[in-house]
Amino acid sequence: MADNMAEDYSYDYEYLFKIVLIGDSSVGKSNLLSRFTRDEFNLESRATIGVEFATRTIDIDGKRVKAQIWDTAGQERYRAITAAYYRGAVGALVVYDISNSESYESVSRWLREMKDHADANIIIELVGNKSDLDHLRAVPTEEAKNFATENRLLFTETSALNAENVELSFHQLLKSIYEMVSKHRFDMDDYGAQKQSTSGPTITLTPTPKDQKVSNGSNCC
Amino acid sequence: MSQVNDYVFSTEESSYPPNQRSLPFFFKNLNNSSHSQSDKIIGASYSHFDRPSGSRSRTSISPERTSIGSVGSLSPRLKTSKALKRLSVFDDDDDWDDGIEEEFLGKETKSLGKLYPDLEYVKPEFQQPSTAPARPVSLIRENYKDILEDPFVILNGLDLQDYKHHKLTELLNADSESLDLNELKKQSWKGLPTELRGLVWQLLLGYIPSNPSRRQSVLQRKRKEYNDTIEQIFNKSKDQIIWHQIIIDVPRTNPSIKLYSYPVIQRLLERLLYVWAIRHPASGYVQGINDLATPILQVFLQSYLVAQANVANLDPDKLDVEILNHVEADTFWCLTKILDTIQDNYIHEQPGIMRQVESLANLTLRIDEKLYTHIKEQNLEFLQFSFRWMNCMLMRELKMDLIVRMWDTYISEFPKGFNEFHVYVCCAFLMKFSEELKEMEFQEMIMYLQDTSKTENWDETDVEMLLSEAYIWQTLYRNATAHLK
Ligand SMILES: Nc1nc2c(ncn2[C@@H]2O[C@H](COP(=O)(O)OP(=O)(O)OP(=O)(O)O)[C@@H](O)[C@H]2O)c(=O)[nH]1
Ligand SMILES: [Mg+2]
Repeated sequence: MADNMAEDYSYDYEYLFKIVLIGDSSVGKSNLLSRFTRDEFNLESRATIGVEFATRTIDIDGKRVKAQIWDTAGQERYRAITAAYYRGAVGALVVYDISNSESYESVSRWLREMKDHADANIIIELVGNKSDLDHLRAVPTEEAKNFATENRLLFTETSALNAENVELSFHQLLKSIYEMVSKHRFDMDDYGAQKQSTSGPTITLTPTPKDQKVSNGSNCC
Repeated sequence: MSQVNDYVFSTEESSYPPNQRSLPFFFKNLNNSSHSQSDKIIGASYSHFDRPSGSRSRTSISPERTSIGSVGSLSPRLKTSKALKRLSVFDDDDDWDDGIEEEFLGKETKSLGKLYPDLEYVKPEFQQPSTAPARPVSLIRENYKDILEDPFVILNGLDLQDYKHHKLTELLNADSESLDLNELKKQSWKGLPTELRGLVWQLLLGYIPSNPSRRQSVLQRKRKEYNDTIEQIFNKSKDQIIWHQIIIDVPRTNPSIKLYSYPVIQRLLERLLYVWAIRHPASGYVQGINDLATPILQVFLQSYLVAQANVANLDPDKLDVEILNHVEADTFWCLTKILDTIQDNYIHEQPGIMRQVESLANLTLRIDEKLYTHIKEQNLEFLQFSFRWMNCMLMRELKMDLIVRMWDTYISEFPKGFNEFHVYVCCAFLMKFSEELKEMEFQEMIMYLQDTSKTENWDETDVEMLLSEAYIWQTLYRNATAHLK
């Protein structure tokens, strides 16, 4: 996949989706992001303080879709700061570490967090990272998969270390968002008009299916 | 390039990781090169992704030099016979001053009078290695046991490389009853010599009293108190949430500096962070505090090493455990002193940081309105890029040796250095990139600001510029930020 990596300042895109990466500290959020945007795995990774930001543009159904991804700090203390970044996000990766059951048990807390602070129709994908540590596995794939199905979440197991399923997980999420948006195509004109002024974090494409009540003001249509 | 066994230090190009047993298995797979034993370090081997950040340090040494025990000859020397004797810190039977009994050193009654009566600067010249066979040499100060008891002992036999610190040594050697703390602050503001940094930091932070008669007893008491606290706290069942966060952060602390990869250092950090967290329940442990402990730890370890030794490459397993124990306690107390001045950076909702970020925005508006307007027009929030600057004292943006230099000034401004003054420094830091930023849009700006490579080539001069600018702005705008604590 030869999409724009690293320096993705291009304006050559048709959709801009804001995504957040959340989950307990040390589950590998930052490494998933660096694997996806720069194809890097960092042995020297330091804990994320506050939020970090990266983007990548990919093709979905022949359309240029740009993902603007906010990587947040996992520690509880930073919640007040990081929660502010959920607003306007159309997708979220809720990450746990398959070798650490506590990080999996935290998932429901993270989902509640999303419910409280994010847009109601945000698309969420559950990601079990560090699949390369299969010999230390503490969370059975089936269990997580069932949980995802029950809660209508997308699901993948990934390894930022060996890159397994990293592309897939982001693509799957972005494609879902894209489909959600294009299913309600006639809403799109309004979003399309916003696209030109892509300067700040507030510019997002939030899918607003007609059968769901829109509860926030950021969709200003 | 010779291979040196049982070597206390490796050079900066040495192999890393030093102890693969302590690393996750994948580390081994990715780096299954030959040099992996901690006790055999091949000077020239070079693993470039692990290059320690302190690699441009002026105090670096080469293995050939140290292996023949002539480190002293590399630095400017003092042209007195006593001073010349003092230089040979590697000489086993060094009794450089017959007038002072060995056991007399470190005693409270010891006179700390002027050590260099007829000091004269001479250019360094080559000195023949004294002993024929090369032997491993310890870069630990040979009077380290005395320094452990009384940090002022470091002044004995000091061979300052730079004569500009003459004033400082004079101050510290002056009749101790009347140690001039204000003058000491002035000296510290300008940057301290490696050898004396630990001592001066401890004095300015108020950890050791300037009154010599109380010094040793205070130190003893503090270290004992820390050890007792450790015992108490670790005998109880652990607060799992705090402990878990600490043990996942410690291995991710300064990963590019070799010192922090050693288990003995990681355990030390875990203990002191945990004790701090338990004793400060309003904040507990917050990510970033681990970073803040490390400049102190390094500087204090350095006090027991000869000046040419690069602490970043120290093999701590070769140190007397007594050094490690005392350094741990001293680091804990001095970290506590510093964190006391920024407590509300780490409590619920981090109001200290919020206030600092707001002050930074206000200052930017006053100093560089165009930049401020541009930032606002691009919908970039100051919090988005400066949160980390406040939370980690710019430790993520600048290399360790520059941070250490910066802290000379912060500590000289104590107790306002780490809060009020730091905001001015952050402002000066932002201004450094003003021209570039004004040309950028939201996304470029945020990526540029969070990218740490833009300061990779910075040296002390850059940091000193930053500090001077901060000082000027503080003088001009202090009233405008009076609401800062
Ligand atoms: N084996 C393995 N280790 C991984 C993987 N992803 C990340 N790690 C390691 O896990 C540790 C934490 O990774 P980070 O990416 O820093 O975790 P994080 O979720 O961003 O953590 P915070 O920033 O503290 O919230 C690092 O030591 C990584 O090298 C993976 O897929 N497999
Ligand atoms: Mg992270």
